[in-house]
Amino acid sequence: MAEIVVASGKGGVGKSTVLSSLAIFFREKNNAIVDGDAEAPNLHLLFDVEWSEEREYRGKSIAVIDYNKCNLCGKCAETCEYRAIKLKNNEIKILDYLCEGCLACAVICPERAISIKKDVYSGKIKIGKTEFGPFISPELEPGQSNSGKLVTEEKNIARSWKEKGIKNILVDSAAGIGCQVIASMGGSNYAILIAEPTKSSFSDMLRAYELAYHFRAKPFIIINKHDLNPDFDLIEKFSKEEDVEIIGKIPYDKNIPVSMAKRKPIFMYDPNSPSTRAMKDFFPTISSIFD
Amino acid sequence: MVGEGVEWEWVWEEVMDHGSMIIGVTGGKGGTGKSTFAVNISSLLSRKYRVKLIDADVECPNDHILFSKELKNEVRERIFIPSFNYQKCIKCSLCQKNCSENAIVMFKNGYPFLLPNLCSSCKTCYIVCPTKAIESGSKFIGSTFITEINENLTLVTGMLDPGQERSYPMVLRTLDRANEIKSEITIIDTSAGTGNHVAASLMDAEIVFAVTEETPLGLHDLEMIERLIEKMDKMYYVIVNRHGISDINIKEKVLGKIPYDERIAESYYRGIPAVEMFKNTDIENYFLEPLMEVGIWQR
Repeated sequence: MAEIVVASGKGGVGKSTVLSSLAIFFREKNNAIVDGDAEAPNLHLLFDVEWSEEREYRGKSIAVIDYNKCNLCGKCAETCEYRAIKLKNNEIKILDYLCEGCLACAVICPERAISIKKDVYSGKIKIGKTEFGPFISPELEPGQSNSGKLVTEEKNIARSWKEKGIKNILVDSAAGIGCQVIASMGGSNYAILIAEPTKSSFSDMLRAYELAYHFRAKPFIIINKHDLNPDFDLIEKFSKEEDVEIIGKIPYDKNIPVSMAKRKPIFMYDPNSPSTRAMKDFFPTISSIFD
Repeated sequence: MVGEGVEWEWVWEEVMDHGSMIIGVTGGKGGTGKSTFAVNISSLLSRKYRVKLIDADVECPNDHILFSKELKNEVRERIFIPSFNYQKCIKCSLCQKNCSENAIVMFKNGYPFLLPNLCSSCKTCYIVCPTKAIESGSKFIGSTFITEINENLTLVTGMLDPGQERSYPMVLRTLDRANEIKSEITIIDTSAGTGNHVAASLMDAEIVFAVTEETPLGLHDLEMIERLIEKMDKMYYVIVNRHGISDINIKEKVLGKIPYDERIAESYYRGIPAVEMFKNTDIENYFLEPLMEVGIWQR
């Protein structure tokens, strides 16, 4: 089973565009499609998903105060490393959108007024079908701390489909390099890194590359909107120096936002648009990474 | 346009009374233009006020790149991890039992030891240890920087070390480092996403601008970030970036629409804020308008 993750560090540089195109182009390869962005999951909007199952995710623990016992000493607020407890005007409050669910406040409280509520509803994993393979999407409540764990759960579901004939897992990772991206990269064989020819995007891609290196996922680079800043050569230089292959370049394509507004992957919306044609040209060079 | 200024003028007077105002810039989806918006309003506001811009996108900070500045004044930041003193340890296992992250492991009759990658540095083990066998250790999680952009504008940047999972404590270190800088206006540029690290960045914000794009993907994530901001009970408005790229037209809570404009893209590539590169042109109005709507900038 091959696990292929699409990452970029910077958001909005074309991860979902590339992933949806890969899923369509390599539809014969028995892929499972996983949205690895639990905090802003939107890949499903590009696919016509027929949902079949929802699994509740109860990964959160939060601290709860028994106000009958609390004497407002404020020790919990002082102790909380996450500054999730606010004591103001003789009122004490735990902010659940900040609380990490550790036990520090509970163990420091001299009145034993704080308990930890476990397995609080924190989101769900949705499973469905598309014409390009099964689809897994997360849906986390806002203000959660454990988005990486949910992504790991999703990937484990996809891995369990090996017996059902799934041969590859395609993961669309979140922006950044935090727990969700670490969960997406962990165990992956290949990391397709997307960069635009800008210093910000290049700088962020380098950070994603460091993660890929750390997790021993073989990296490849795709340059998106390469024609918008043709003099920018840092990505090419990096590719030569570090021996990371640039597998292809995608031109700026004004049809992409239009296709998104129509909720269609660009590959379906316009098979002849400049970006689709470019991807069709270079995708065959990576067909060997699929099982 | 919403806002009408009434409610906002009051807010403005109120915050200017206590000497400073804090503006959060967020959006849910990545790449919608949070940093572009934050950098441009910071640049504009620094013409009148002392401004600090906090780049709290610690996983991928970019604001300095949009100003073409090298980061300066690095401080390596660390967080607590337990350090076991086995001379004092009585193997009671309270630390292990109370660790919510299962980061402390004890084999039968053995001493506890730490899996540092799992540790969330909550200090619970340190608090519960009855023999004070747990001492304060630390590990590095990233760096903060303070960079002067112009005489009225200072950038505070947080940068997480790649491989570190937890951006939340890094956000807190960044906000703390920013306390070194005095300013009349503070602008906080958050990361993408809707998790508690974004909530931590916005904790002290008095006004939040959510920057989005008019695609179903942008709208979906906007809805999620709106839920978070509402939970936090913050006043917020929506800024649409790259207006015109699709025929979707959002209206609710919208305070400004920045059209898709190649000059803004060019300024982004060149690393000069658009309001500086195209000073005294209509470009300034895209960013000034929302500021005028909320009464921060008078006509």
